[in-house]
Amino acid sequence: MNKFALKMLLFLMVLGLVLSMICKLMEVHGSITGHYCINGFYREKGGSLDAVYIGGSVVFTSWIAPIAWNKYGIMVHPYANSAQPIEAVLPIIKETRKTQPNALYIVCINGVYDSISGNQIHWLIAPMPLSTERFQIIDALCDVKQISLSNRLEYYFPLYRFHYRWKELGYRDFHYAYDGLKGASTTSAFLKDSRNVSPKFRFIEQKSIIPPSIQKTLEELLDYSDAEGLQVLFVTLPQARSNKDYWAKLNAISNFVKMRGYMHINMLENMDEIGLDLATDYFDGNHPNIHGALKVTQFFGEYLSSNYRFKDKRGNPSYSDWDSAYKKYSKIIAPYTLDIETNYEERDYTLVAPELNNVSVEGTTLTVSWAATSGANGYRIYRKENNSAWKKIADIRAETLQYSDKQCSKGKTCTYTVVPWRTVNNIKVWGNFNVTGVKAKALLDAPSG
Amino acid sequence: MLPMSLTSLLFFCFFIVSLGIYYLIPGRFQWMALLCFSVAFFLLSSNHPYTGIYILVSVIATTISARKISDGLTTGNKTLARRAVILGLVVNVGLLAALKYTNFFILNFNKIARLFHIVNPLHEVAWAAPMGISFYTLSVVGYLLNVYWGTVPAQRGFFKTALFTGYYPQLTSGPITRYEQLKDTLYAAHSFDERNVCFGLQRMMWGAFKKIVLSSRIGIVVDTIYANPTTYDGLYIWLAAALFMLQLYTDFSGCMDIIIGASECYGIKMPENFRTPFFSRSVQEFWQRWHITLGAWLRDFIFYPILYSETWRSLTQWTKAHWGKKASKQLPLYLGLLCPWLLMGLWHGGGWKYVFGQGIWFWSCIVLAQLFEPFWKKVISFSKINTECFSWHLFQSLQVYALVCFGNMFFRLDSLKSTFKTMHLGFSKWNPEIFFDGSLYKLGLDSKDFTVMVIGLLILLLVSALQEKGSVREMVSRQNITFRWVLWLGLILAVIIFGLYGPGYNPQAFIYERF
Repeated sequence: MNKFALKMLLFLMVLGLVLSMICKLMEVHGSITGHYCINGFYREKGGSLDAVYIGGSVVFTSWIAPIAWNKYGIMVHPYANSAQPIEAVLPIIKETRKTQPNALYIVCINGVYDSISGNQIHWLIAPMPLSTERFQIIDALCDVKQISLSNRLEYYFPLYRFHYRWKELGYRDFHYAYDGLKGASTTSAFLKDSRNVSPKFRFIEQKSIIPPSIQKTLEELLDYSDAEGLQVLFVTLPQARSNKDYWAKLNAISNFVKMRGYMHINMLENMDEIGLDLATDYFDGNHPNIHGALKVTQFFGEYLSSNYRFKDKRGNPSYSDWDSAYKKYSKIIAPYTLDIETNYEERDYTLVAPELNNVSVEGTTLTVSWAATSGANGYRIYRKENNSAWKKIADIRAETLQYSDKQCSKGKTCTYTVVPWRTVNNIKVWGNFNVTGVKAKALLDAPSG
Repeated sequence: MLPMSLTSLLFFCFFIVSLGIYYLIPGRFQWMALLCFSVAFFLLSSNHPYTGIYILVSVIATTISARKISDGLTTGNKTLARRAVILGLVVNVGLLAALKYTNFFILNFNKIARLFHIVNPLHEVAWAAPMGISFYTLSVVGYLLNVYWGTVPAQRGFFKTALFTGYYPQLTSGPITRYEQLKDTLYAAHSFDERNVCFGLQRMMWGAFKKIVLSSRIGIVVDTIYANPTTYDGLYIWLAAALFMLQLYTDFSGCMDIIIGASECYGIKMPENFRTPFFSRSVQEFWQRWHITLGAWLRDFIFYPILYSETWRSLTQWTKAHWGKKASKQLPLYLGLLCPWLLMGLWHGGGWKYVFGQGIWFWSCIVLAQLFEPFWKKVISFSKINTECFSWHLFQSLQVYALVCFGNMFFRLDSLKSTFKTMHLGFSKWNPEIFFDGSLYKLGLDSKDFTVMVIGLLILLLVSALQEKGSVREMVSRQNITFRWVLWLGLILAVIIFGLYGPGYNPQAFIYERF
């Protein structure tokens, strides 16, 4: 009997091992940024992070950890999924505490009222290792969705649902490689798109009532935090939603946590300081694009580094992967951003983006012109050819409101944008600019004769 | 909550927990535990748990009847014994007839009434029958008759009779067990036997493979074709007929593997219901290898009693006197054979399609084969055909396969009328191109699923061929541990990965489940 039990145990262990490997292979990654983000968290050295940033997709589209690392030397890794209702936050804190017990827990409250789809539950748990917290998260979210026990099987045992994917397995499934970007988004729309969200953006300061179930969950979270002596910072990120009721509900939450003695930053109140331009810095009403993200990261990084005594770990060879992440990410975003957006120089968002006129074309001479920006001491002109990176082509004085470029290759489309600057205490500070720019094609020579 | 299916994870958990309890408690309580598991299983898996009352009535009637028969036989009071057996049979068969055949009777009564211009004098009823009534009723009827004939002792205990009637692995789909086969192991104490448990679990997994990897896939193709026979006409129809037989086999025998395997884990040996039926060389042999326990039941409790009855003896004598010796041998035999075959049809369901497709058709095949046997023998002898080689065996098996496929079209399709209509559509077009132009991949299974189905069927064929030589599990158990583990792990993974189950797939119940 004992020998048999041992054999059975061994057999079950082999079976379990094989099944867990197959499960990892079959599980869908869903939002790939979300997957990299949570997967990346588990690759961090135990106790190394300064903060864990918990929230929905707005977190990884607003926080670029490698940029903050490079600029402030702080290690703040997101633990974010495409949706993350309040019910998931406490189990996630418990989960992240296992490897990062002394971190600051930053909780983005924008998603607390969000509903979560079955797929999003899968996307959240897919990168997580097996643990009781994983099951707690499943139970918490299934309770919210009122999913019966028998229908939870697909979450407890994801193979129950995803075994059919044997037909779909491809290269990426067998060669999953973490992108090493510390949860920074590389989604195409996030990098490329820009939508003017100003017509729909509404924000109010009124508060509504927190639904009892949400309040109960929130109280449990705060009670746990009190009991364990955790440092928790609540954040409202600057989405550009049009729903006033949404903001009223978030305001109620922020009020509630503040009353319980917790810090809360409402970035909507700092839109000007952040320099967010509703016309250019969003790819939809819920998410900033790369330009908005860089601004929010700069603002929040500044806030964190100046309000918390985080040790600057830059230069420590143990964290060279963070340097690599910065270098890699800088290359990725280069075609979509200007060098001034990621450098260390100051920005002054009171300098509005110059209004660009259509480019006039005279053979291979393309002339870009613009309306003056009040307060500007000069302008910097950038050009990009097709999908290449933006390249600085000229610095000109404030009086000149046009620039003729003869370097655009024949037959190629060149895009131009103009960044205003002014001098403050002998330092150049850079203003807003039109991220889309204006474009035109350098004409080919006409056939002679 | 959905009723628990034999291939559900819930059933597997239920079974494992029950197995743990079974071997942890003292042996003398094991049969009681089995009874408790059976009650729990019935409540968890029944669509209408209240129908358990009917089973209870059956058990009470069977217990009383068996006791009285036994008393009557012991005291020499044959009247008491006869009355008791009649009581038991009336209650059990009456319940089966009332719950499963009332609508069949009403529909036919209304049809006859229409001839006299009376429109629907009777209305159909919606009476729910307890699951497995067709199986356990035959088991208890056989038991009561055997007690009456004195071939088995009566079980005087109510709870033990209840366990025999409702023993949960066999409750949903049989096999139709005999009391004499089960009594020695069902109530006995069983100590943990590694071999029983391993073999049982292996068999259950093989059954799950047949059901959720093969049968469910084949079923998709069959359903697609039969759902729209006007679109899928010509050879599609015959393809569906051929595939349905495979679906039915993998489904029913898969279900049996799970049931018999589960029972084996408890140390209780159940009778086999299938013995590689597609290797049969005649329809008669097919029915000795297919749904064996039903065929044997009909033979022992219907055919033989009829054949040895006074009426039949008189009929034989009368035929001999009027039509000669040869006729006296054949006519009463074939007429006697018709009764179990008609019942075989009716047992499958209250409908003329069952009576014809599962009854008269196979009866005709068997009778015609016997009538023409001398003729065929002459033809074979004249043609100098070697009947002891593989090719002749294959030819005969394919012939049998075609005949059973034809009969089972009635089983699968809605009615006699629609079956004949579908058959007509099968002859309406000659479209062999469907086997070459990718049309097969448009029947609900893509090329990858089709490949899995074909490979699975080839494995099934290989295993069936090995089964002809002996127990495959015995063969495997003699191999090295690495090979064994790889094989069983492979089987488990095949079921988990290639099985059709889970969200997004609407699982079908076993075709013979809850009959």
